[in-house]
Amino acid sequence: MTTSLLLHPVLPFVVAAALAAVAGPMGRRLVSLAAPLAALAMLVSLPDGATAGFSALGHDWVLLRADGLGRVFAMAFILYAFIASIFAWSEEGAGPKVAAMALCGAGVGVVLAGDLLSLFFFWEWLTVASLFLLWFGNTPGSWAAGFRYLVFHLAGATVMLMGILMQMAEGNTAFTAMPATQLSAWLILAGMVTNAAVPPLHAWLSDAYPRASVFGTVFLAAFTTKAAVYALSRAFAGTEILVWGGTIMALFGVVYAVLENDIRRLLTYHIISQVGYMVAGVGLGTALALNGASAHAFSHIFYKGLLMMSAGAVIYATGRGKLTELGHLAGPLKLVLIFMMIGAFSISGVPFFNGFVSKSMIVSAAAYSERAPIEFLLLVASMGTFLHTGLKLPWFTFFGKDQGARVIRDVPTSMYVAMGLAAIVCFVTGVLPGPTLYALLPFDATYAPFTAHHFLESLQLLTGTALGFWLLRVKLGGEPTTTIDIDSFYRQPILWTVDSAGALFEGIGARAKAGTGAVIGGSWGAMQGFGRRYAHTPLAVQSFVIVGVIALVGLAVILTR
Amino acid sequence: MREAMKDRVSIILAAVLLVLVALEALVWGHEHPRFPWHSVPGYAAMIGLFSCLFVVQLSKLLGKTLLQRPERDDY
Repeated sequence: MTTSLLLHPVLPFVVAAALAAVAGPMGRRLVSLAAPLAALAMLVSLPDGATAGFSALGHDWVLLRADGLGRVFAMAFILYAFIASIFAWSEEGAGPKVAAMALCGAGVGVVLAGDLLSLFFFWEWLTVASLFLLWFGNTPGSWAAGFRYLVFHLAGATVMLMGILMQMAEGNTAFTAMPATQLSAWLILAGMVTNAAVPPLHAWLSDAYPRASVFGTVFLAAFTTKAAVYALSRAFAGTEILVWGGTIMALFGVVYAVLENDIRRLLTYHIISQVGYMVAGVGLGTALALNGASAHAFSHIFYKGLLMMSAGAVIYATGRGKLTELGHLAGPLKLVLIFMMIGAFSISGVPFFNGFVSKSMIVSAAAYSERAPIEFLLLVASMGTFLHTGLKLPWFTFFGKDQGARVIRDVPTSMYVAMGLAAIVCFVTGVLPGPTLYALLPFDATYAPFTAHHFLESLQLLTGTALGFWLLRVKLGGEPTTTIDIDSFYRQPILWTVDSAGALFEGIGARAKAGTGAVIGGSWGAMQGFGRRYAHTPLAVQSFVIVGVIALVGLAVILTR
Repeated sequence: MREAMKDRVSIILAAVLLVLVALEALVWGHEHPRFPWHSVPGYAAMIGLFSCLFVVQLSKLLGKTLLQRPERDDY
């Protein structure tokens, strides 16, 4: 059924982004709240199966396709956009508001796009909006982190575009399931797993998100990885490599979180870990596993948002964000502690919070698929989640020894309201999952989370973890160190190669110039100058050159097939 | 371990754990055991406790030998 593009839920966010650019501070705040409400009304009014688009450039662009899978993600994105906008109420700048609205719109656009090129359009829009939201935070390190973010995402997108063009050359334009048997599908898969932050392609996430402003991180944490989970669910359900990729992801984040001292970076490692469950669910590919991936994405958007908000509130109030500099704040920031614990209980799967009813769908699906190692490793990852977000983070932030952190400015009421709303979503969907969460799920599978044994299993796992934490708590405090991530092992050689190539050009140019005549020598001199300039060029230019090289190699692959 | 036993929090947590395992053994066992260990009372408690001890020690070892560097803002 075809409908009008004017009913596309992306539209309110586009209008809000435009208005936020020209309006005053109060106007910006109001449009950032109005846009999600309008988008929600439009999403709800869309009949199932509705599509909208236009023809241009010889392509039928299907910008809107409303079906069950897209709808559950769009619903979560829009509801969360409203809560995050309340959290950012006290932020006055125009740039961050424009970028945040654009980001929300891009997220909704990705999950409602019906053809491969429309998907790619919104996919790129998501990258650009995220990048500017990071940069507008104007925090230390955000500039360089932004370029690293750009390299990862443009490289991923370039690879993905190659796959899309190859698919289109064979006449496949619809964004739908594509078996990972052809090169084109593998390229698209590679682009998607980059955005899903599957190691070793994850470093952009733990690098960039903790460097955004406290408001920026709250928006960033919700969209990119979950949009990628959606895309994987649509295209690559049942792809075996995702089962193991997701499971390794779930554990990877846990190991890094043990070592992490920065509270927001600790939480980003748990984004990787939680998205790992969803990716594994997509890989398992059964109806229950796919419903689990969608449900867990929905839950995750709210509990991770709540955790990022509470960590942001601590940073906002004290000006500090490292475990070694925090501690002893339970008194002055009591309410923030309560909200952080609700987020922590939710992510850890404590009964009656949303993680309990969504994460377990994926773990159970692994068991029903007779995947014993996967079930076991996902349970181990659950231990790690509670260990860090439920115990280490709140303990050393609020109860650990006094390291001199003081509340130097009050947490605004708007932040408390946003945290309260996110907490309500986590709790209500955890207590009444049937009508609030399971009713939205796209696939035909039923799941009963509230069994006596499931309660016991969860409580045993959590209590066992708590005992382990207590025995090892001396070891688990933050350390004033920086943990290098896997990207260091390949980023440094790449940068060295880039610099060396410049130096090589410079050297060859200089020698050749000395040994040849004026005319030829001039061109060698130009080469020398290019090499010198390139070796000392800013990160920005180097970033684009790296992506350009990847694109050229890709083009060569396509042309020589 | 002896020192830990003197610690009241550890004793309380261990007692709660025992009660939960007893409930699983005596009243609410696994309804649909898929793997043999699903029928072993307390398997989840063991995963929680022992994987916690193992993962923390392993991560710290990796951190000390390979991953942790002096603090810096950028890298």
